[in-house]
Amino acid sequence: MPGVRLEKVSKRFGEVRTLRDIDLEIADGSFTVLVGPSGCGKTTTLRLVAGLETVSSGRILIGERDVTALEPRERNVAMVFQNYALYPHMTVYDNIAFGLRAKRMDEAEIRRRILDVAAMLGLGDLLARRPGELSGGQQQRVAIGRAIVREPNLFLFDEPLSNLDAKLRIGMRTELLKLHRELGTTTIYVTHDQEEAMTMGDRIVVMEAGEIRQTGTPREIYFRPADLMVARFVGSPPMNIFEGRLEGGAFEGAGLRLPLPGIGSFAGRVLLGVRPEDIHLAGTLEPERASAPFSARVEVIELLGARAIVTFALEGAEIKAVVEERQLDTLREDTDASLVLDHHRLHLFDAESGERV
Amino acid sequence: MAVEAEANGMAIPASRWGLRYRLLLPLTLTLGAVLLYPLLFSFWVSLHRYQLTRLQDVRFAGLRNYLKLFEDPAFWNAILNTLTFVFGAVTLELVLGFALALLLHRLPRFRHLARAMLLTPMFVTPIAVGLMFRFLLNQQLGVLPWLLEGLGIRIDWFGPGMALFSIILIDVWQWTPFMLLLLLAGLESLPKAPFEAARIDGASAWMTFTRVTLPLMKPVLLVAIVIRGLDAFKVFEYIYAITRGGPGGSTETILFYIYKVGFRFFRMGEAAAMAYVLVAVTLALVTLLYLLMTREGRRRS
Repeated sequence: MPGVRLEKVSKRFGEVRTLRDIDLEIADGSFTVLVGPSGCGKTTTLRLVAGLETVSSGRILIGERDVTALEPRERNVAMVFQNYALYPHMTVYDNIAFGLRAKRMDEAEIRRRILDVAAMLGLGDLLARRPGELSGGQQQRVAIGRAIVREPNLFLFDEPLSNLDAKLRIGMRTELLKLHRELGTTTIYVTHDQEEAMTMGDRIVVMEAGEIRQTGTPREIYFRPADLMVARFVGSPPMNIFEGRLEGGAFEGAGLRLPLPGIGSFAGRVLLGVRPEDIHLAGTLEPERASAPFSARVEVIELLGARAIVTFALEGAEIKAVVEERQLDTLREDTDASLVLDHHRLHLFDAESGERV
Repeated sequence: MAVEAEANGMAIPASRWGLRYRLLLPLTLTLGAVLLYPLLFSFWVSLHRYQLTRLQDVRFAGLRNYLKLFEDPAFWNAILNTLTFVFGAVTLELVLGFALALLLHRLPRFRHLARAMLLTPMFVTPIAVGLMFRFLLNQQLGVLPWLLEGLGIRIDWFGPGMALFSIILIDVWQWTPFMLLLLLAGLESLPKAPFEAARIDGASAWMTFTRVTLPLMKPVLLVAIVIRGLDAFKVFEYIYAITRGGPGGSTETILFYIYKVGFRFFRMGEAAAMAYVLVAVTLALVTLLYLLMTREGRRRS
């Protein structure tokens, strides 16, 4: 299975620059997720790889082959669209057969392949139906079937699950991952949902405003966000950000003064990022990890089950923490609580550039 | 009580029915007077010996007017001419219009300008178009025959064997833009996604056209054919302005023949009978077309 390489790829629509000088390497057989807020250029990137759009400048390679100027059909890629893009006037069978017939494949071979794919996706009973008679989830399966039956070099998914309801979506995630493991085909998957990106990708590419902000494994993205945008975008509830200054090895701001061991010599205005699960009640964290305690007022407790999201007020700012259910006894709304931060899990960003410090 | 409620603008249910009918009345009366009455009256006429020159002697004739038609070679000639005209004109307009629509669909920059320019023939009244072409194609005076003669081509546009074809060309000139407009609007309203899927699936342009564009356009094509077909059945102005049915009845269409029998020979009974046959033929053709176009869809569902 070939990988994909984008070299200095830019895309302009008239005056609007949707992508600027994207460099991206996608390894053979990987499941790479492009994620970002709407308008960040992730779908455009996918459509450029598919060949539905042409680059304004730069090169796209699939394997070692330069496909920049090639039509989609010469690239041997398969794509699953957000709205499924099935042929409304054809049966499920004909929908799946379309790409094979375009290759003038023998009808008996087409039939064999379709029956295989239908069995894999549980579409056996639906082959004679039309897309209009199927549910959203079934249509999605047909779209996936149409993609895998061609045995392409590359799968492209454009927000394939966003039109499904929450429960179905989570089920389909697992199925897509299983499918990927089974087929081993290089996959590029676009989503705006950071949680979907985290759970599905073995590599994540975070994009914003036509640029790549960070590329990495889900763990790298989550635990070492390269800049403030990535830090804020990934994680739910989102990372808490404190404005302040770094001076003499300590963070000062939001009414806090936190000595940060091992921070080095950097000084100046910074933003301190703390994920909600890295804020602990004082005394619940091993002492060598815990920062100096500070007090904050409990505002709202939202119980999710085993955990709760607790909103604290601190110097007029709000901070959110994830607290274990069994620790909730000590907390009461409208009273003060003593909190510590996990030293090992703090993120510092330059206040000017937003870069990680 | 009811009057009071209505005066307040809040009619109670019982009187609302009365109000409904009263609101319907003006339109019902108008339509009755200008549509239903002529329709029924002409049917009545078609069952009588009804000659404008002998109105004192109107007699019930049963189906005699209808039966007479079947032995009238001029009637059959007119039917055949009409069918030839409708089939020829609508087919040419459909093919040309669709081809142009597909072309313009691909050229978004030219679309608006071309659309405006191509629409102009539609705004000319058909009788004027008829007169225009009568002179343009005239053997002695016309500019087109003169130009063609320069190339050594001599065509008698309104001569025997050629006249009906010329009339078809005139209709094509005037009404292809209508097809174009309708089909272009249809193309523009098609969902984009299946076409992108077809590109990804590797379909050639021809396969995309036959397997995706055509089936998706089917409802629009049907409407276009029915509208133009029905309209073409009514062709009259070109004939009236140019050939008056000649030479030798070769361009005599059904409507022109009805006009001739009714208003030149004053045999209203026969003319009315023909008009009803025309309605029946038209209805039959539209139904047939509809069944043909939807057969596949119904069989599968």
